[in-house]
Amino acid sequence: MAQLTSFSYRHGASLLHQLDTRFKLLFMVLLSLAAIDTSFLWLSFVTLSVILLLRDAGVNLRQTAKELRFFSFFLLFVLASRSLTTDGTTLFSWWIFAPTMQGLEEGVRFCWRILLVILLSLGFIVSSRTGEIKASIEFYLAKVPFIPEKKVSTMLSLLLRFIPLIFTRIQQTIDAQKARCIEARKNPYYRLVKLTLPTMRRIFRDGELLAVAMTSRCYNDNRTGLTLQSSTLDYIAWLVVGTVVILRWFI
Amino acid sequence: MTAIIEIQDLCHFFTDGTCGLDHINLRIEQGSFVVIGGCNGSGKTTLLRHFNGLLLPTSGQVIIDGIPVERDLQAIRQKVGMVFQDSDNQIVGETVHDDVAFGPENLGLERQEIGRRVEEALQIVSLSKQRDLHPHLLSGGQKRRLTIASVLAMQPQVLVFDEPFSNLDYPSTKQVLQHIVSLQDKGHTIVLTTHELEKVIAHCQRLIIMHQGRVARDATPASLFNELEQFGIREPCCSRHGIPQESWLS
Ligand SMILES: Nc1ncnc2c1ncn2[C@@H]1O[C@H](COP(=O)(O)OP(=O)(O)OP(=O)(O)O)[C@@H](O)[C@H]1O
Ligand SMILES: [Mg+2]
Repeated sequence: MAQLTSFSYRHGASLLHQLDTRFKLLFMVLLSLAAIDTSFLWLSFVTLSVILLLRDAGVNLRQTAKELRFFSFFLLFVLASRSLTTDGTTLFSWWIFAPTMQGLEEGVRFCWRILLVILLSLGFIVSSRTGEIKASIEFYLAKVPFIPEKKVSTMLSLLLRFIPLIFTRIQQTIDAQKARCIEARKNPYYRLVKLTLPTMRRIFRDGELLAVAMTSRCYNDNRTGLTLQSSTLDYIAWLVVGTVVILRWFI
Repeated sequence: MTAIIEIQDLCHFFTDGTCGLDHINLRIEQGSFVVIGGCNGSGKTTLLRHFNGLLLPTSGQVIIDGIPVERDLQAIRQKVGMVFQDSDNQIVGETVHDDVAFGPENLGLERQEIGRRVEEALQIVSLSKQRDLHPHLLSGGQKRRLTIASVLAMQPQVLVFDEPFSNLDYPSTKQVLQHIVSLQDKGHTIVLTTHELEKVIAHCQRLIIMHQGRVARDATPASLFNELEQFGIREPCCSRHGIPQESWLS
């Protein structure tokens, strides 16, 4: 039994699963864009809705938070640098640090938006098969001239297929090294090198084996694709999402 | 009997100059069950990869069902289905059903035909109940059976197994073996590599021993028993104790 990362497809019949992947892709992009420089009220409303939808789709939010814990360092860093570099009313001042109220607000807004984008893509990934994602990317790219839509969508969907494998490999390498007491070494640089090199080597090897296995099953660009179908539900969802996006300018 | 696989004077050198295969000549008859044995690094996997054009000969020729491999790779890969040593690296679908559908989709079949083949293949390896699960949540034996189903859905004539029993416990080994044997009964040609002869000895008609990239022996298993150990393969118990061969399935 392998542990799955939360960022992989789960079979289900939730609301997110029922929506057409083309619509979900569009919603994800629209909402991410609408979240730029918007009010806290809008952010809270959308975040709460997304969280409810994710729970409905069977996502374990606690596990997701655990997987994203390294990411929180990055967010803290962004928050700190924003609050220190923006002009405005000083909150307090200590040594050379003088965070401002406006800076803090900017930082929170920015980090919140990043988190929202992550949650949106999580909802997209857990509820869409790679084949469906590929077919929807192809659907949109076919409208753009001079882009070989089959090649691009194949590449993107392969990348998506490969992400969970990369996570698993990193975790396996970490575990194997913990078993040999790497935690006794305090130098983070040493540990990073010892983690990165073997993991990269294994990921390349995995990629090669996967490619060989796909080749032996006749993988090519002209395969039978999925036929995507939209229903009334998708158009209702379109209305709802459209309204939410427009509300952005009013609340 | 007609030969489904014919190999003439096959040599293979890797890009770094290592000699992987050295003048191999083989004829494998349609419907037979052939086991390829040999120690680690003897060239078993390298040989198998020539059967469906994953590797192409440096010199010599591989002919499948009358067609030289390099002439029509797509057709050859449909005729020769390959189950690899490591299950994890050959599962590409998000669900059991999707993984089995991957091959038929590549062949450009109609949706309906794909659905029919997937159901049939899952039925054969008894995984119909798990059709909506994520493949990585299956047990080792179930994963191996899934990889077999994925290949079966392409309706190949020849099935090639690279170490099909590695990492499997006793019940799973029996199950996988049972499936392999019944596939031969249905008319498939089976080629299988292993270094645990014990498990398959009662079911195969021919044993080919590889050694340093060459075919060292090629005969019925029983006639090779007392030479096995010199090629790094353990002599089966039945031979050591002078008792009759017994199938793992009985
Ligand atoms: N890409 C490669 N480049 C160079 N040498 C290789 C390559 N692949 C395999 N070899 C070498 O070719 C020889 C045969 O390897 P092969 O994988 O066929 O052995 P095998 O009989 O399948 O072994 P095992 O029982 O371990 O699976 C080995 O000595 C191996 O080191
Ligand atoms: Mg091998």
